[in-house]
Amino acid sequence: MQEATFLILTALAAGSQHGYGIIADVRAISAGRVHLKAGTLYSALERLRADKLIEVDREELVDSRLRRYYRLTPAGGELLAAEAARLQANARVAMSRLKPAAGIAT
Amino acid sequence: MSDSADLERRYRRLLACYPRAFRHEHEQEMLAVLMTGADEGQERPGLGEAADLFRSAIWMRLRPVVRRSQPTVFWAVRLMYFCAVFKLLGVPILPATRGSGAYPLDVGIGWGVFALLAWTNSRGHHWARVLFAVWVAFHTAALFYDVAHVSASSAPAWTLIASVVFWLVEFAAVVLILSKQSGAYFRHESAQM
Repeated sequence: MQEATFLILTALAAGSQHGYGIIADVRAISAGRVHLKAGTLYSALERLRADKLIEVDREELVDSRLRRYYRLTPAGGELLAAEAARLQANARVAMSRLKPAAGIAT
Repeated sequence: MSDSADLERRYRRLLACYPRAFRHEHEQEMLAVLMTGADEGQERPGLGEAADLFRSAIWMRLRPVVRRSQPTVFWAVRLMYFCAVFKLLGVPILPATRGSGAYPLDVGIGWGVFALLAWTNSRGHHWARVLFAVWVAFHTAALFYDVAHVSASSAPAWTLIASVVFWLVEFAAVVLILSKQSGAYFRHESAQM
């Protein structure tokens, strides 16, 4: 899974969000490292919707502009959980291997 | 005209690069996101943002649109592309099965026809589905003709095997593309056009 996809799904894990909310949340989750642009975001949202990993939650009109909220589907939640577990397991192995090396260095 | 109206007009011009169906679905909300993210007094889209929109629009036009969530169309289209590659590689098959034209011409046209049918079927064009079924029906008749005459012809037996393999792939693709699940995909895509 690409990092941008992982971060978008993570942004939606806590509840439904609209496009700009996702961009802001992704930036916050990645500590400012990942700044999604609108084109990239909507390509990803379209793909995730086609794969039934996210769905439209509701629509609102704010200042006469459409605001569409997206949410995770159960399949999207399962995929995110599996990916997070995989990354966590890899990170645990990496950290455990770095500890002895760090011990030798100090 | 205000800065904001100028900026919106320029964003709309960039969004016009997207396919019509995508624009119909997302233009308003994308515009809202772009305008919300714009700086105070900004008149033009940033270079990076414009490049991202353009790249994304090109990708939306060229991307494979059939996802694994529509398995029958997904695999039918891949089998059609397989047929295109089979033709492009110029694997010799029986004369009637490959058509009545000269062989190099058949290879040149054959792979293009399969590639075009694969692309148009993936985009949910109902006529492409019908055309592919007609095309396979023609090849089926041609294969039966070849099987009946192969012993009398000078063609090596392995070309018969290649023809049967090719036909089986075509047949699998046509069964998948004519299935009920594929029908739902074509109806949905036609409604979006």
